Order: sequence, then structure tokens, then C-alpha cells
Amino acid sequence: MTTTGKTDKTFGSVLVVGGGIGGIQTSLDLVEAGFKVYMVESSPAIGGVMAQLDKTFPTNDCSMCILSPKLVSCGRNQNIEIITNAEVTHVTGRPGNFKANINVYPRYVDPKLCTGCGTCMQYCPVHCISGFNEGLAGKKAIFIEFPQAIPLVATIDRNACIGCQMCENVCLAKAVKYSDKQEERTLDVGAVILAPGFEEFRPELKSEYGYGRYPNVISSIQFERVLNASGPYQGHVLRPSDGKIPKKIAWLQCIGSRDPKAGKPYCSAVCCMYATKEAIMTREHVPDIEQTIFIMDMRAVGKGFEQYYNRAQNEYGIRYIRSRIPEVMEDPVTHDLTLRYEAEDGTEKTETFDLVVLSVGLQTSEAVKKLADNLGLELSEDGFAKTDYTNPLSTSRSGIYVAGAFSGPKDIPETVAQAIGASAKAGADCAAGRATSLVEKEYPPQTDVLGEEPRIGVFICHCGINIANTVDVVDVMDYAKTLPNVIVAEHNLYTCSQDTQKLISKSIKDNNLNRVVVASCTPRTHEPLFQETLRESGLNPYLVEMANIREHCSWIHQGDPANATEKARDLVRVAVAKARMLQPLARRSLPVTQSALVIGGGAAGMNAALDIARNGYPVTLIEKTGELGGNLKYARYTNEVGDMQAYLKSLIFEATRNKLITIKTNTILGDLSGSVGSFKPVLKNTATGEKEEISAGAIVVATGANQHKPKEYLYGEDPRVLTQLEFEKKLIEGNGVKNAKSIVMIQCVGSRNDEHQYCSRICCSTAVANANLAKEENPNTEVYVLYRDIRTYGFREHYYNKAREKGVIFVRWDPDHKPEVIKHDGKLFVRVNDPVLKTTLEIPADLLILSSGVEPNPDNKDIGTILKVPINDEGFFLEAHVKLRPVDFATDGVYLAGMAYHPRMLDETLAQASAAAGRALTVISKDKLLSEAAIANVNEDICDACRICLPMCPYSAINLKNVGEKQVANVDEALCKGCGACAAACPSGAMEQLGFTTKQLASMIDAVLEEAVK
Amino acid sequence: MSEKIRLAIATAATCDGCDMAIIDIDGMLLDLFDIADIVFSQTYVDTKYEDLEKMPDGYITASLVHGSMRDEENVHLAKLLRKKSKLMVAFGACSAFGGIPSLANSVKGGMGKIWQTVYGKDTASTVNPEGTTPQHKWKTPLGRTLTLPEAEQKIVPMDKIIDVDYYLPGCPPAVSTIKTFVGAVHSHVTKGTPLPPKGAIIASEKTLCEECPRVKPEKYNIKKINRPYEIELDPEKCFLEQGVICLGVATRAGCGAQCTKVGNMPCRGCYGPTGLVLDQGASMLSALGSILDMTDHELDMTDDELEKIVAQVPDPLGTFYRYTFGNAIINEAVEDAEE
Amino acid sequence: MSADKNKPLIVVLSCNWCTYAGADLAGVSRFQMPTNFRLIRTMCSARIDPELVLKAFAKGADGVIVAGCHPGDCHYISGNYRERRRIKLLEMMLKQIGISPKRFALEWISASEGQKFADTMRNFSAQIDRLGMSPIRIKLMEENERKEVAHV
Repeated sequence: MTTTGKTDKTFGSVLVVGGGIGGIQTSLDLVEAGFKVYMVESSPAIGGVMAQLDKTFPTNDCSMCILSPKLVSCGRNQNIEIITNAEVTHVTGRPGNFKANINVYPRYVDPKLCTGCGTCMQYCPVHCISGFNEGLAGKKAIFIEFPQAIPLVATIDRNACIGCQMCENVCLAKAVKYSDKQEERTLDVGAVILAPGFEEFRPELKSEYGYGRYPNVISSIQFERVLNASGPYQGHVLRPSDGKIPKKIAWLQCIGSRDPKAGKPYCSAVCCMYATKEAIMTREHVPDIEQTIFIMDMRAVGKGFEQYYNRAQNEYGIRYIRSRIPEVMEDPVTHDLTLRYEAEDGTEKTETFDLVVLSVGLQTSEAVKKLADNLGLELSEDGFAKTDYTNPLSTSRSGIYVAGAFSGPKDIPETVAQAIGASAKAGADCAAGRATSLVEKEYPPQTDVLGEEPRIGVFICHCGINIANTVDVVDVMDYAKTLPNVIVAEHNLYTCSQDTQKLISKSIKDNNLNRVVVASCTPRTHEPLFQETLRESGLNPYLVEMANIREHCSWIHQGDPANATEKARDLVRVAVAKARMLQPLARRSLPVTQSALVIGGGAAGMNAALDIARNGYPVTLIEKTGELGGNLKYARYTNEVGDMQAYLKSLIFEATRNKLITIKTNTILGDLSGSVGSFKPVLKNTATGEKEEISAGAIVVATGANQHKPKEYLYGEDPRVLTQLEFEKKLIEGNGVKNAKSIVMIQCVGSRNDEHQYCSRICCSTAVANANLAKEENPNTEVYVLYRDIRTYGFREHYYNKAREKGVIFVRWDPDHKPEVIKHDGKLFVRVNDPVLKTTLEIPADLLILSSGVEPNPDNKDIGTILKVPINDEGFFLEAHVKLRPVDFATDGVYLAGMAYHPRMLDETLAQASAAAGRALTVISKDKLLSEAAIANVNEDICDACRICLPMCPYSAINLKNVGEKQVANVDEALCKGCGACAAACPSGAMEQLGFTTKQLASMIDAVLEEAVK
Repeated sequence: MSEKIRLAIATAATCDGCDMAIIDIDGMLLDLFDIADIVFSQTYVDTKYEDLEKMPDGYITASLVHGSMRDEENVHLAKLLRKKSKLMVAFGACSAFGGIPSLANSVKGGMGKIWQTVYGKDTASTVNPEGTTPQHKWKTPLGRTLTLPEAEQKIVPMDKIIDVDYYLPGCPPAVSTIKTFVGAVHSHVTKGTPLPPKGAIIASEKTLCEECPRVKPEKYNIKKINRPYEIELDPEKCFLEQGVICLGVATRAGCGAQCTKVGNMPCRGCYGPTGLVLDQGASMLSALGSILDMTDHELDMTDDELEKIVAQVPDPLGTFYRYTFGNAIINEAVEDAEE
Repeated sequence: MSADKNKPLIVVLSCNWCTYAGADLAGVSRFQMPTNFRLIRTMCSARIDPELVLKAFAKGADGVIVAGCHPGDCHYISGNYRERRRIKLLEMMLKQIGISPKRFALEWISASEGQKFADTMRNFSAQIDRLGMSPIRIKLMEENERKEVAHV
């Protein structure tokens, strides 16, 4: 992009609104791509709804486990400024140069002084309701909502606080600040990304379900807290009225979704799956539970979702009943709940449950609507940020982007993909300012300690009274002084406070220390701080070892000071033993080729290439066939876009005229060497057979998918039987429909069956679009859609509603009674069981349209082998993590977009394409990468390439290299993540994990037991 | 010509295979006798302990001891030789690591239980109607007291008893290993070249895979463990790939891979661990466990299934510690309390 | 009150991302536990070489727990799948050595399972209390005592 010399400066910083998973992900990627981030969060801590969830579908991953490393990364990143308790009031300017006004509300605790020790919460006499636990548990008026909170700083709820000053008195860090005032700030930013998330529909508005009146009717988000091991009931599934373990639980779906009367006509897209997950997880807590989910349609559209749904039914015995419950009745004595409902066959049923969970939908909060108003953004009729189908990350205001549920209900991976994608979009606006706002600290040169006798300083923390009340800190200090190589031992009120860092620094210099042991709290949060102190003192940061005498000692042995002190002594001795063996570690600097390769010239590939090029980096785009377009070549019309071919034309025009994009058609990836930052792809021309080696820092895989070719229903035998795409072409070309009196569509052809277990995601929406179009063309045509579940998730529900209004007839079938096509007197009929009418219908079909699904690209296997990335058993590529790394592979530097991942809608493909570009940009926007420090290391004198280690590495970081005549294992420093699996497997001891060597660990074990056998 | 060096070749608890191996160096024996006199040996020359006791301390240049430390006589001999020798050499797997005899340490109940098995009614092949067991002291009918050396409670490698200067691993040490050592001593004596550093193991630093020509797979994933007799062994392919437990990956090279190359038999580990691991058995266990039947349904794997996968290894202790249990981190069975 | 030196001692070898975090959460939640365990952290349970477990027992540990992420939760994708095979094999071998299987456990404890961490430590500690000191530790203590006497 060119800018004229006269315009204002382009800022290299981005404002991110919202500290949920979307905001966190976009911030982390922005920083990696060279931008400073201001993250504005309205609550006192980042984490959002994901921090509240128990598990995530469809892998039942622990939500907090996968989130908290990201929280910590955000918290410790010096280029992410987290501004909590704040809101954006006004934004002026243009892309590249905005001014944002922020209101920061007082938290009444000085975040610079508060150490997050939590003593104040113990002493505060005021109990109030915990929003984090959705009202099921209490908290104090001074609080940290959850232990992993970032920033880990207390906040006073002034609405609850009685001003007794108890907290002020017990806080030894003097952090409580009653006089705290609201503050206004103005930030200079080049772009704005909105990821404010959603709120749950308020179920009390549907009074017929008794929420708020019946104690045993709870919302699904409350139930998440119930399931959670750190929730109100410590993970025991209990019902609120009497604390008894429920035997029968019902989930009622679509509470505040698909409900025009409640003003929520759209589908919330995630509830079917989260209810299924909750039902499955409940079984793991209460083995003999009976779970029933009342659904309208089961919308398991995502990757692995259908299989999850099948397992829920077959392995966990979860009952799905197709009925919308009109009301919940309560027995006032037992508080049991009775549901009266109409079964699918029309009979009326009554059933009693111990607990009813309302699967509440997603909506935009008033606060977020106000934010939109402040920023002058348009909202849709449903109250979400208005976006364009072919530009899903842009709001109505240029330079302001949106990610996550603010632009429509979506699950975590969709949100994460959008968040990364938004970082690429924002990066393009701020490209001229890249790296100009980053803070990079200068450090003194590191003292060479190799070969020196260890000189250890031990610093023992009181943590106010948190440690010192239980552990005799002075005794531990005196003991530490007796340990070998310990030169000095001290005790500090707060070892983590700023002034103690100065003391440690001084002690390092005064005593010529070359190793440091800190006995305080958990290294998971505090190690980076002390590593920083060492660096500032001219020592290698990896020469510090921590002993956790708080979380693992004083806090859990409060009643036993003598044994707790004994344990603290042991833990310090173990830390000293390791410290004696610590060696300086280095993060190696690896060169980066600042360009990318994109494989696949469809919608995903072209958009990924464009996003990379717009950020200013060259891209090679290769396409196997002779022309660009991919599957888009066959698409004519969608619900949202009238003319797909026009869109395709403009896209090809953009891609071909961009000077940074080199397009090579008839070209495939022939071979690959190198790794992240310095790949050497070999491109092969399929026409000439010529090969060419290029360089690329990152690779995007966007190889798309194929349309399933039906093998049934007379397809290919009778010209009246068409696929949806063929039908769509006819419709747009205006031939052949006018004369059809009756059109029958059959869904799930080639999906959700034995051949392809997964749902193809797009076919329901396509069928609805084409049915509507057919009706518009000829309102007298009868259109039948024979379906299993109508999966028009999200806003696509509107088009389903429209089809029903237009008189499209929807008939459900189940897999035991598949529709049959019969030819009678040259005419086609479709025979189907109607479960509502309980009769077999025979529908004449002048045209029979098959909604055939999506099949993986058969090339995936070969491409996967060359790239060393896995494909799943369906044949789609397998991402690094289902939830949080949807476009990454476990192998760094290779990213994934579009239908190569799984069936996608176009808007989703485009968001993913931007995301893959965004991830690629985190690599190629730098001129060098840093390896991890505690990585595997091969002793080449010992290794003889026995290959045991090779399959250990999930990141393909280990390969073999030649040293003279012999081969040895070789660790690719760019790829190794430092898990140590290879070191433990290595039978010769040649492979070691630096920082966790066998010698170090063995010395720790020796030290642990040294006293016990005396 | 300078004065000849003085050698002792002594046997502790041994099968005498090591002696055969020494004889197997053929012509090199002549080189050896060029430079060395055997001043003590129970096999090659007629010497008695009293001869040994009479020698001045440090009289013997080097003592090669094979066999493990099974009884008090073995221990006595080792200590005595240490006193009389400048260099002590642990010769063979028994002396270096405890060897196969040290698997006796894995018998819970120690010598009592072993004698019960060997002399008692536990075994069908034992015919011992009087229930005679070896006694430490026995009075003959004529009133003489005969004594036998008492068995030690635990078999250990020689370096647990005395300071050892060199190790020649193997069961027995390969001819090439012995030749290397004899050659080194020969050239030290004749040309003054320095001896290997103290504590050296006269073998490779690498593992057997260095010497073994068998072809390895791209990535190991053993689907089924096979005993060698259960399948037709492919002479070209790595044993582990064929599901046959081969300790080569965890065993020091130096033998020339005779078993895998010539014998079409997997390595049993007689050269012991490399210098960097704590324990040969645990290293092999970890390596094998790491590549044992990884499935495509790990997430849903039941405990039963997992048990079945590992239960294919019939005797982990005996398999992984065949020659080195005496030298293991835990080198004897214990009797633990039942709850 | 003085420390109880003859209490059985438990060594916990845990991964950084799940179990260590779960232990942290137990601490933050102030779940009270017996004092006689010592936790050593590695990045992944897959780093925990069976050698280290043997080493702990050989040095006198009365109980050893290896702990990591639940299947499917491994921070490094598949480390715990490798580890559980090694540990199962090791269990077979420990049985041969004669160490009571009750002295050794493999546990999956997630970052949110502070309660499970506490329960595991309580239950395991009680179990080891019932077993008493390991025979290896008793032997080592006797040897040390003999050395001390000899020294005096």
C-alpha cells in the first residue's frame, strides 16, 4: 500500500477491546507481528467466558488448562499493555492513525504494589456474590475472581465494601488505595480490533421455565461452574435446592435462540454442542446419571462434532428428544421439576427431573452495544456487529475490525481464527509502523560463568504472612547457609517486590553470585520475573531456580508449622542441588526468509496471499490446476451473496494485480526441506515437469476439498437427478425450473453416514438458499426438503425461516428410514416416512436435488507427507489444537486454511485464510526467530542414530544428519518445544533436555531424600 | 629387552567362558607372553592363594578378574589381588556389572530361597530325599571340620568391593576387545604409549547400533512383541522393527555386533550401558515403552488395553537387566510390607 | 512441636502444565494436605525417565507418584501417551523387584483439579502410612546408623 508523504504518521500499535480468548489471541499475534497492543478489558481480569468453562468440546479439554498459559503470556509480554476495568469512549481518525479515548475505572488497589497474595480476601468481612461463579458461590468485597487471574491484583467492589479498612490493615505491601480515582487516557493506535464477546441470554425473561424461581432450574453457564473442579461445589454435581446428587438431568435447548417471540430469531450455534459436552461430562462425575437433551435440531456442524454427538448417544447413553418444552413445573416440596411435552409423534408426555439446565443463547450485551454506539458502528437487526459476508472481519467503519461472538454466535476455534485473522487485517493498516512501537529492553552483557565453582545466593520470601505464618523463614535461611556452594542467604518480606529485585541485583554483584535460588511461590507465574532480574544483573536468566514454599507448602500445611518448615528446608535443599548444576542456556537466533508460500489458488489461498501481501511481504501462490478459483468456480449463489462469480472475478483481479504475489498455476509442491523461517520448497510444474527450489519463511496450506459425487438416488442415471451445485447453475442460468411442479431435495447425501461420519456443514444452508431461489423463480413450485436435522446455524436461521414462510416443506427422516427414489411410468417419486404424520409419503419429483457433501482432497495425504503434517482419519488436515490452534500445525511455520481443514462456509474460510496469513506473518515479519532455551540437545559422541527418539517428537523436530561417515540425531532448534520426551526415551543418554538433564533431576532426587535416610 | 610385566588371571564366580575367550586370541597369546608372565591363575598355572599372599604389595602389574562376587572367597580374592596389583581389571560382564549370576539378586528371600529351589522340593528335577543343603561348616565323621565359603547375600560387580582400573565388558569379552586391551598393554610396555585413563571401559562410547548393519525403520512403532523363535527372523531388518526385543540400542558397542550380524539373534546387552545413563535396564525399558504399539485411539484407550500392550514383555527385569542387575540402581529384590 | 523425621516420604514427579498447576491451585484454594510429599517439576510427564523413579526408590522414597496431564490434554500433544507405557512397564518391573505396587502411582491431574491433587496426596499418603517405610529406606537408615556408630 502506498501512502503519500503528506499524511500523518502510521502508528505501530493496535487497540484491542476485550480480554477474552479472542482479544488474547489477537494481541499475542499482533505483538509477534511487530505491533504494540493496548488491551482494554471491562472487568478486573482478562480471560473472559473461557476462564469460566469447565471443559471444551469435542475433546473435553480442560478449559483453564489450555487458556492459562495464554493468560500468562499476555501478562508477561512487555508489548501488551493490559488496561482492565476500562472502556473505550471515543475513537477518531482514520486507518493507521486513530486516537482512542479510554475511561479507566478505579480498582482501589495499586496494581504496582499488590502481589496478589490474597491475604486481604481472607480477612475481608463482607461476603457478596461471585459473578465468576454465576451467583452459585460467594466472594469477598475485595477479591481476585479466580486464582489464575491476570493481572493477579485484588479489586475492591465499592458497591459491597463497607469501608472497614480491614484489608488496608492486613496488606503488608500497602497496596490498598481507597482514594483511587477514575482516569482518562488517550491512546494513539493504527487500528482497532473489537473482541468484546457476548453475554448469555437472561433466562428469567422466559418466565415459563421458572429460572430464578425454581432453585433447580439453572443456566448452562452456571452448570459449567457446577462441573468445574474449582467451582462452587468443587466439581461435585449437586442440585442447588438440597445439595443432593441429581439422578436425572434435562437440558432444554434454544433458550433465547431460534425464538422470534423472545426477539432472538437466530441460532446461537454453540448450545447443541456445549449441552452435549455438559451431559457427557456429567456422566464422568455421576456415573449412573440419566441425561436428556431436548432439541429442535441437533446442530453438530464442526470438525469432530458429529462423532461427538454419536458417542454421546451410543457410549454415554444420552437421550436426545426432539421437542421444544413449553414450560417447567416444580413440585414445591421436593423441588423436582416436571416437563410436559409433545413428542415427535404427537403424543403428549410427562417426565420429572431433578435438575433442569437451560441452554441459554448468546447475545450482545448492552455495554457492548454502547461501545458500538461510541465507535459509530452499525449493528445488525440481531444486535451483532454488522459485517460483510465476503469481508467477515471488517466492521462498518474502516480500520476497525471485529473478532469473535460480537459479529455473531460462534465457538472458540472460530473465534480464535477470527482473532488471528483480525491481527492480519489490522497489521495491513499499520504496516508502515511495524516494529516502531515495540519496547525492547537493553541488558548488560552476560558474565561467563562456565567452569566457575557455583556461588549461590538464596532468597527466601515471607510473602507478607502467607509463608512466614506457617514456615519459619529464618530457620530455613539459616539452614540454607549450611548447604554446599551457598554464599549468602537472605529473607525478604516480598521477594517479588520491586525493591527486593534491587536487593537481589546488589547481592549478585556484592557477593559475586553466579546462581540464584528463590524460595517463594510458583515458578509458573514468577520465574520470568526473577529471570529478568538476573538478566538485568548481567547473569544468564536460566541460572535461577525456584523452590515453591507457598502453594506447595505454607498454604497447604497451615496447621503444621514444624513439618512445613522441615519441608521448606527440603525444598530449598533440592533447589540448591539443582542450582549447583544449572548451566547458562541460550535462545538461538535463527534466520528468517521474509516471504511465504501459499499452496492452493482457491478462495482461501488467494485471500491468505492477499493478506500477507497487504502486510508488505512477498508471496508465492501455487495452484495445481491451470486457473485460480478452486471450488468457487462452481458456486453461483449463496444466501448472503447474490453473485458469487462476480466476487470471484474481483478476487482474482486483486490477487493477480498485486505485485507482491507471484502466481504459479499448474504447479504443485514437489518436495520440502528446511524448517520454520527457512523452508526450501521445491515447486514442480505439472505440465513441464520442471522443478524449482524457492525460499519461504512460512507455508499456508489451502488445498481445499472436493464435492462428493453421489452414488445413489439414480444420480448419473436419470437427468432429472442433480446435485445442489448443478441445480444452482440451472437456477442462475434460468433454465429448467419453471416447468418443475415439484422439486425434492434430499439432505446428507454422502455425509453423516458410514462412509463420511462428519457433517458437511454447508449443505443445509445451500439447500435453503436454492429452495428460496426456486420459490422466487416460481412460487407455484412445491419444494420439499427431506432432512435429518436442519443445520442453519447462526444467522443462517433467518434463511431457514424465510423458506418456511415461502412454503418450502421440510420433512424429517431418520437414518433407519432413508428416503427411497422410485421410477414409475417414467416419473420420479421419493418415498419417505414422515414421523409427524406417521405415514409414508410418496412425493413426485420433477427434479430431484441431492445435497451432496464435502470430501477431503485426495492430495492431502501426499502434501501431508511432504510437509510432515498429519491428516485425520477422515482425510482432512489435523490442526495442532482443536480449540486454540485451529490454523496451526504442530509443526511450526506451516498453517492451514479453508476446506483443507474441514467443510466451511465462505465467510469462515475467509476468516481462516486471514488467520493463516496472520500466523505466517508472526514468522515472516521478523528477520530472525528465537529458539526455546530448554530444548533437547544431542551428544554426538554418544549418539549412533538408533532412531528411538524420532517418533517421540510431536513437532518433527528431530531428524538425522551425517557427521562424517556416521549418522546422528539432530534437533531442529526452531522446532523443539522442550518437552523432554526424547531425552527420557533415549537409551544411550546421548539426548538430553537442557535445563532438565538427567544429572540435574537425579541430583534433585538425591537431595530430596538426603535427610530422610539419616 | 626390559623386564616382563606380571599378570594375574583370576576367576571369581564364573562359568569360565572368559578363560576360553582369552585362549581365543590365538597368536596374540604369544605377543602377550612376550611381555608378560602369568604369576597367578587358577586356570593356566599352578598357583595357590598362599603364593599370592606371599607376594609383596603391588607386585602384580595387572590382575584380570572374571566372575562376579558371589561368595566370601570371591570377595577375599578381589581384595587380596587389589593389594598385590598395580592395576585391577574387571574382565567380562560378571566382574564388570554382576552378570547373569546377579539375577539371583532378584529372588525375594535371598540365598535361603535359592537353596530351597535348587536343593528343595520346589523343583521337579531335584532328587534330594535327605534334604541335604550346603553347609558353611561340616564336621566329618572323623571329627575334622570342613568349611565352604559362605555365600554373600547380594551379588555385586567387583567395583562395589574394590577400586577397579579398567573394565572389559562382554559375556565373554569379544576377542577384539581383549586384543585391543592386550595390544594397549603391549605397546605401553614395549613403546611406552600411555594406557587408557583410569576407569575406562575397553569398548566403544556408542551403542551397538553403530556396529550393527541392520536396516532401521523410519519411525519405530512396535505393534507386537515376538520371541525370536516365534517368527522367521529377517536377517536384514532391525530386530526391534520385527518386534523382537534387542538391547542393542541400550548397549555399548565394541563386540562387533556378532549376535545380530552373524548369529541372527538380538543383542542381550552383555556390554552393559553407555557411559551417560544411570541404568541399562531402565534405559531399555524407557526406550521400548516409548515405542510400544502407539495406536490411533490413544484418547479412548482403556487401562486393560494398556496392560495388554505392556504384558507382551514377559519378564522386564530379566530381559532388560540380563547382565547388569548387580549394577542396577536397585540391584536386589526387596520384601515389602503388605498393607 | 518438632518435625516428624520418621514419617514416610513421598516423591512426586510432575509435569509443569497440568499437575504442577493443579498443585498450585490446591495451594491457592488452601486445601490442607499431609506435609510428607516433595514435588519435582519437569516440563512434560514424558521427561520422567523410569530411571528417575528407580532412583527415588533406591534413595529411600517410601512412595513415588508420577503425574501429568489427562490423556488428550498434554501440552506437548502426546507426551503422556508415551509416559503411560513406560510407567506400566516399570510397574511390572517394580513388582518383580518386590516394591509394593501401592507405593507407586501414575496420576492424571489437570490444572483445574486442585481438589483432585489434594485428594490424591491425602489418599496416597494414608496408603503409604499404612505400608510404613520402604524396606530400602530402612536398610539405608540402618547402614547410615552403622556408619555413624563406626565414625564415633
